[in-house]
Amino acid sequence: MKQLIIEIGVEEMPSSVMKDLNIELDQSFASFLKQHRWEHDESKVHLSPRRMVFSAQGLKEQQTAETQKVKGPPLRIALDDKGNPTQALKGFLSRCGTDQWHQEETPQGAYCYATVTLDNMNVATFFTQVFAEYILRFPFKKKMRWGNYSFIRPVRWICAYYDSLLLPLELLGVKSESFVRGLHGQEEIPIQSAEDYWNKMKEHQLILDMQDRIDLIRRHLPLNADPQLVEENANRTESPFVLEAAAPSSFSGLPHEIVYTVISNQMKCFPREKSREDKSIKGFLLVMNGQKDKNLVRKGFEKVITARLNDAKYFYEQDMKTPLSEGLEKLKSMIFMEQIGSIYDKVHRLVKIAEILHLESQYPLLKQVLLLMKNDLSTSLVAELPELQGVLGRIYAENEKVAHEVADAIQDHYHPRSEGDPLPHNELAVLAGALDRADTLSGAAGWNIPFSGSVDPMGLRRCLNGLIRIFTHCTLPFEPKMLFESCYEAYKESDLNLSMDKEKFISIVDEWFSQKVYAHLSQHWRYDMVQASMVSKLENPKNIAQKVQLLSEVGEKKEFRTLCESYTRIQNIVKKKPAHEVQFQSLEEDQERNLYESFKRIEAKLDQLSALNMEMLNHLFELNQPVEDFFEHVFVMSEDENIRKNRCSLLYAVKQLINRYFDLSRIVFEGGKTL
Amino acid sequence: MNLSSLIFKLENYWEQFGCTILPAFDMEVGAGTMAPHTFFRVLSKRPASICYIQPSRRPTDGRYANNPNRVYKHLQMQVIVKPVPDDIQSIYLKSLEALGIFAKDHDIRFIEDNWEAPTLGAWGVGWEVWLDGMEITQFTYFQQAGGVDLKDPAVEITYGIERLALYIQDKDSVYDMQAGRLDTYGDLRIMDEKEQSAYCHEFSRPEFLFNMFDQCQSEAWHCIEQQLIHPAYEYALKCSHLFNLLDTRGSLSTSERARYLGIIRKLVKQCTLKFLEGERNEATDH
Repeated sequence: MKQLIIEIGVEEMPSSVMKDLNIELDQSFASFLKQHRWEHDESKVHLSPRRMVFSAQGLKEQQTAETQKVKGPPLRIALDDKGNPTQALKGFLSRCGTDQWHQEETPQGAYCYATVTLDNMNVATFFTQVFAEYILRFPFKKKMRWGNYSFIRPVRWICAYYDSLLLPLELLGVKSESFVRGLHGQEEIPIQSAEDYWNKMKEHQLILDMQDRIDLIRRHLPLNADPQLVEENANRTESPFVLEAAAPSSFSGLPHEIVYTVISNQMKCFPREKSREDKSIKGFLLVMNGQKDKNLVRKGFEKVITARLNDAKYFYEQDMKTPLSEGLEKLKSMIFMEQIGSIYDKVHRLVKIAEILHLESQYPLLKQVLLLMKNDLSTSLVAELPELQGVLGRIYAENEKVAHEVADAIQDHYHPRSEGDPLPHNELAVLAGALDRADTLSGAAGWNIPFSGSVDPMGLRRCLNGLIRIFTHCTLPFEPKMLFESCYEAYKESDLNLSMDKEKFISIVDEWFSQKVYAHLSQHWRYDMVQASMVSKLENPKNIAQKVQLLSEVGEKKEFRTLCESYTRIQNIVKKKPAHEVQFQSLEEDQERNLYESFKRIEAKLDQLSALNMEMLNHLFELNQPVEDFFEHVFVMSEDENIRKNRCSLLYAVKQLINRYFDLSRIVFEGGKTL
Repeated sequence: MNLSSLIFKLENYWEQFGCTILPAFDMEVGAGTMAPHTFFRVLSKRPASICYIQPSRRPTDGRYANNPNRVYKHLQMQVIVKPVPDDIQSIYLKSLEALGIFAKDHDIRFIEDNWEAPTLGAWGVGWEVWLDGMEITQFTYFQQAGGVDLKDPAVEITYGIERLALYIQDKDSVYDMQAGRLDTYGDLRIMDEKEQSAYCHEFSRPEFLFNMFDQCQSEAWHCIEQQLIHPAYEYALKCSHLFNLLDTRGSLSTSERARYLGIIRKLVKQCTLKFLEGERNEATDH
């Protein structure tokens, strides 16, 4: 069984793109071989920082031969009066590289056809020509230029074999040779054949497969090691070895979060906590590239971490000289968004929003949270370690003996940062987080700052998702609509008045909101039930979710179908809101009086109901019988205009009662829409 | 190995490679890249092979000599080479061997780190070189300077000299490092570091700095009008240093900050265009 191996040696590729690039290249190479009719058993692309390795097992020596029938010009223009080929036919045949042709009838008339034999190149010709072109045209995301060339990173060597046949591949001024380079500081590794390549890689402990490197590193780490950090290390090494090292003891006074972040985020090493309870850092694990002098490498990392912690300690002590509350003033020069001012402006708006919503009596500590929660942005250590924003705010607040629920809220109001991130568990953080996000979104909506999946520099999408999750899962003393109206007022009272009127503003926010809510819920529930449950502007997503769940419980029930049918029927009869309320004394028939009375009774019951539960739906189902009786006995379109209008008003009132909760005309039944 | 002999060894290595060893550029700069030695050489279509030590001033990093790693003024060694030899990575690694650092013993890694200097309209693609976890060098292929795509990207190798010396001498504080046979780095630098830090953070007078910025700016434009590109560029560098001083004092509001950066960027851009124009004219004259 013959095999192909092509290693393109490059200066170190960025670790951040390697995972996606590997998947892309792997798929692309497989379809490249298929498209060019190469029979083989298995193809694979491996990436390490300095190598891009293409391999194919059981590759045939030649492309599969294939002929293809090609359609040419219509017969009527192919031959001249004397029956000789015209320029059109001659040109076609020369393009096809043949002088044989035949005619065939088609629905459009007679056409000329030729049979073309597709190239069946041998391995050497194909890979030196077609493959070279393919890889040079590959759309790498992070290309760079050097000399007259451009590629993901400069190509420095190539080794290409088909079994023991060296393929004379040339890329960007580099010709293939019978060796590859090892790690920096190692000799070149001579390669004699494709099989020899794999053996030599093993011998030199160069691990080509990303997953193999990940697995190898993981075997030496505690189970809770950060998977992303493992991956990053796997993509920064070709021959990973895990070493244990000690954390410098002189930093035991520094909060463990800071030590942890320095070790993991700056140095890409794995901190080891003393125990589950005692989170102070006793040491760390580092991933070394290649079998180097362990003591030298370990000592080097320890030294750097000591120096970095020294820096952090300096900043930490510096920051502690100023009370956290004084940081607010410095936020004046930190622009949050160009149109909507500084972070200082933001904080003052948040305080205003809380006032408009009358939150202070119920949550006396909220104002303190708002006035402190962004202040760590002005500290030197957050400038050094921005990922600790919030965490450091909490630590500084704790050091100043600020009430612990306030300190916790400073850290927690940033949650949830992403989809999998936990929600805040502290009431003040929930409120502060909701206000903060709503304020950001309001500014963006009010200034028409658009965002999409790909263009979202302000992180508005994350902001919106976070706010919806907070509303869905936490208890808040206000509805989304109230919150956004208060935001609007707060902007209006500041000197950063929004560029539109309130109605337009609410409708933009509502559109963002409802799109996201719909997208979230329709992943798990029937889309028509989600649509049916969204009835008002900026409706609380928690209520929507509850209603969708109720609908899905009764979806198969007969009374549900009846209610939907009645709803749609009424909607078809009464298209506009009637001018007058229903007049009881003008109702003539028993059935309409009965419907009116049932309506009043059910309305009263629903008014009393505070929760969205099955009781609510059951009350609505109680409308079924009276509505049915009404339609059976009462003729809406009476000739007497007053009677007709009064009946319409009655039906409309019934529909509106349902519409408090649902728009049942959205429900789709199997076999088509209702009615 | 003291700091002096470390510098000699590196300079000697690069001289043998073919570099011209230049004296440091004699004005305040934030980084070796800003010196005209680098800026105009990477823009020029001529080949380049130069090496120089550049003291670099970062007013915000001034720590009154209290921090063992951060200093107001530190030394960079700058190597500019183009066209870039194919084995430039090995050539660089051999320069470390001249200091007794061998890749077979140490974990030396090239970690993605692209470099950008918005005021210079310059950016490059490259790596920070880690020596057992310590960043000792910035290794960059220049892609743009003065907002102009470079036809033949030069490689820029910037060594952090104090870092390397700290590592080699196995010291924890920069001030304990042996600078020469007699002096420690502390002997030479502490007074200057303390006073410069105090000046930058507490005693500089913003009115004076603003005033001087305006004067330098005006002189730079005057030079540009007269086709005096190098003097114009030097005044732009003056502006850049004055900007850093003002920024350190917190004297710039956000909009002022953006405006002053814009002025410097514009000056540098003009110098770039005039320089390239000059080179083109020179080519047609011959």
